[in-house]
Amino acid sequence: MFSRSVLRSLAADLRWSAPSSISSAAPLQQRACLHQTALLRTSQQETQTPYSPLSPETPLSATPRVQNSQPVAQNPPRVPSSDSALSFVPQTRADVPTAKQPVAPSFESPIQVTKSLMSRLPHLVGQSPHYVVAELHARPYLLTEGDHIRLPFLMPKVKSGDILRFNRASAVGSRDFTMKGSPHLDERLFECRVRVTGVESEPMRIKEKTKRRQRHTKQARSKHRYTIMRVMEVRVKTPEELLEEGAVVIEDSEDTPTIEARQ
Amino acid sequence: MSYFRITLLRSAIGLPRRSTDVLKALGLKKRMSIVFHPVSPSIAGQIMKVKEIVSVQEVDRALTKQEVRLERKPDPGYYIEKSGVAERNELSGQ
Repeated sequence: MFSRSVLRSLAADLRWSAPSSISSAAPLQQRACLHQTALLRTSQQETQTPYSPLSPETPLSATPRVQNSQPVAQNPPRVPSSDSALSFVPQTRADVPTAKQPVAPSFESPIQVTKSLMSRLPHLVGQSPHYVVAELHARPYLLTEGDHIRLPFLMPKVKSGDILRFNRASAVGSRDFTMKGSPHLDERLFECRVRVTGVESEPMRIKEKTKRRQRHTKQARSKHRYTIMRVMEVRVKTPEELLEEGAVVIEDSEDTPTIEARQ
Repeated sequence: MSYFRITLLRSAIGLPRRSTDVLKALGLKKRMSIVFHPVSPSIAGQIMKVKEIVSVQEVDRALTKQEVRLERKPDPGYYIEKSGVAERNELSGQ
């Protein structure tokens, strides 16, 4: 096992070094040495590490390559962590920042609420039921409590019985009032809980695929599955709750959500 | 070092061979494709040759392919607050 791996690495080295060598005798000589790879390896080891001539066999696989081969870059798997988030550059399809993954958010700064929102919020809170325009993958869903939803896709990594929080909404409202975000509301202003009730499937569809001038027809079958869920709760937080959670009241500005009454 | 962010807005179908070749040299193959090139006179000249069908921005660094893709990816808009198994364990523990 060990000698085989050494052999393989040495052979790879030879393959790399062979085209670079000008004289044709050199690779042949090296190939002749291939049979005594272990010997060659140990002798090179000794020349490289004179301080440990007695135990040349132990760190063989861990020592750097002795021949003139390209350095093998071994990148560790990229894991976006919080401390290296600034220097982290997504390279492959697998590198998705946590902001774009369905994980619970963590907040650094407290929520900022304008004075006018705080003064109007009790009107909205007092008038139930509420609706929310929740956005899943940038598609809006108008939801109220007790609704059954069939998503147009199979939601990954959820099972029936799981409780989801919808945290991206463009509007929350009641019969007479609507709180609109610009373009989205802060997710700490409302709570929308949804329970996954199961998976539904459509009837099997069979599409006949034909090619020209051929009597053979192919049947393409498809049967998609969809996640179904029920809205447990749509709730707007009261001003007191917001203040308890550490909300900061600021002056009015343009980019903050406002509550509009029905015309 | 600043970069040009070049987007091909209109297709090169029906354009003269010279313009198509310039686009090929810039690495723009289809509409809405985005490439990054360092700011230099030669690149600026290439952009001038096809200025009618591309849009150009000057940016600080070249984004990777995945970063460009992530710009288009929307937020999922949900997260799992509590799994059904965890809730059942809580209820049975009481």
